[in-house]
Amino acid sequence: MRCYRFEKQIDAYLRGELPEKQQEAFECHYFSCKKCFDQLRIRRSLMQTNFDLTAVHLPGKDSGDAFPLRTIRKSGLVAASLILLVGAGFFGLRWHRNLVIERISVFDPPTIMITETRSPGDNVYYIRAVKAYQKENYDGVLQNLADISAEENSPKILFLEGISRLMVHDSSGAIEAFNRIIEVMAPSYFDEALYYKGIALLRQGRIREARELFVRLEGMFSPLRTQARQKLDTIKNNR
Amino acid sequence: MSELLLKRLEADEPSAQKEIMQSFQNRLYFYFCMRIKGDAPKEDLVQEVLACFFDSIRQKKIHSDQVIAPYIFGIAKRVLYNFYYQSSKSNNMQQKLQQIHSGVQDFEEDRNQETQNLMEGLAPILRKLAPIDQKILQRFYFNQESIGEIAAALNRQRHYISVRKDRALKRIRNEMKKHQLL
Repeated sequence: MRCYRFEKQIDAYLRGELPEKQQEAFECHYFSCKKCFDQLRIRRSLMQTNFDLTAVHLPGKDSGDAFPLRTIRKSGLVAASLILLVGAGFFGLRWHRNLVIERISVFDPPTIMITETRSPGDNVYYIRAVKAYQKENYDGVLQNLADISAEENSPKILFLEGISRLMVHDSSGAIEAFNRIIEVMAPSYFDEALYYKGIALLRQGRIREARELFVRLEGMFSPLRTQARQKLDTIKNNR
Repeated sequence: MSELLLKRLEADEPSAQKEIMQSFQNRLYFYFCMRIKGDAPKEDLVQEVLACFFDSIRQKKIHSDQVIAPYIFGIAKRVLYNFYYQSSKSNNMQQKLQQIHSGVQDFEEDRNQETQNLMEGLAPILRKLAPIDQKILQRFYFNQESIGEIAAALNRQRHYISVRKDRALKRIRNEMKKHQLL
């Protein structure tokens, strides 16, 4: 009966959705239960399997394809690039790049709820900041966060600051805030800091660095793996 | 784990020590992967836990076979706490553990090999599943969609998707046991 209860929690545990106490109880359980640990390993392996189970069929010489699709696509791309270069000019190219950057760096701001801070004095400003965030008043968030003491340097406040700076298009400030979370390897916000730092880097046109972050996140055991993978696909499709 | 394991550990039997390491290395590594983000040396932490455990055996701190697993879990929690809040470094854990248990092998190499075997064994088993089961598993685990989203996408009831997923997982587990991958 006990094992049945824990077996139901495996998927939530892998997705990081279990509350702390339940997570700890589950971890204690799989240390002694082979059956649950085997299930955990199988399901984690499924998360890392790309499910590309069918063999890839490559067209041969006799396949009847007059022009293989890859050649058509390549020829089309070269021609389009030449036309774009000739037609657009320097400013046209710059405008296009900005459009691409805007498209690949789009994101939905995360939901942030009110929780307590360490010092009661800072709680007031933090609550005001979160309420401003919930009303999409990001300048208000940053004004309220500026009143919080330097000692209250918790990852959740840095995260709120980072996201708000992203929303007001202060990418450098956002990167700085996320870097501070990443440096201390805070368990609660580490993955999110990596992901949104990637978004900030995209905004600055630092696509290669952003890509490295998303690749790293995709290789980790993280609830944000899917979003990181989607971003990598978006970057690839917009090259 | 076999019976009277504690007695065999206290007698410093290499086979008992090897049994502990085989049982718990993967679990410990899994635990630290879930709890620690970034490029921390998780293998060192695993070795640290096992070194502390064998130390405790020597000091006769453990009195029953039943408490071995929870005891190791408790050490793991303490090591995790030290890692985060005291930032103590686990240096040369492999060496220290070898002093306690001379038969210890390279954990990282064994773990990589085991993971590779598991992944390679999984593909042919997945091919044997019905296409709808493959789709459900792919969407749930690889794409991280919820049961509701999968049900909507495949135009089925949630209960149907949930039952098919559980049956597919059971089948995978049975096949893996049959091929001695678990």
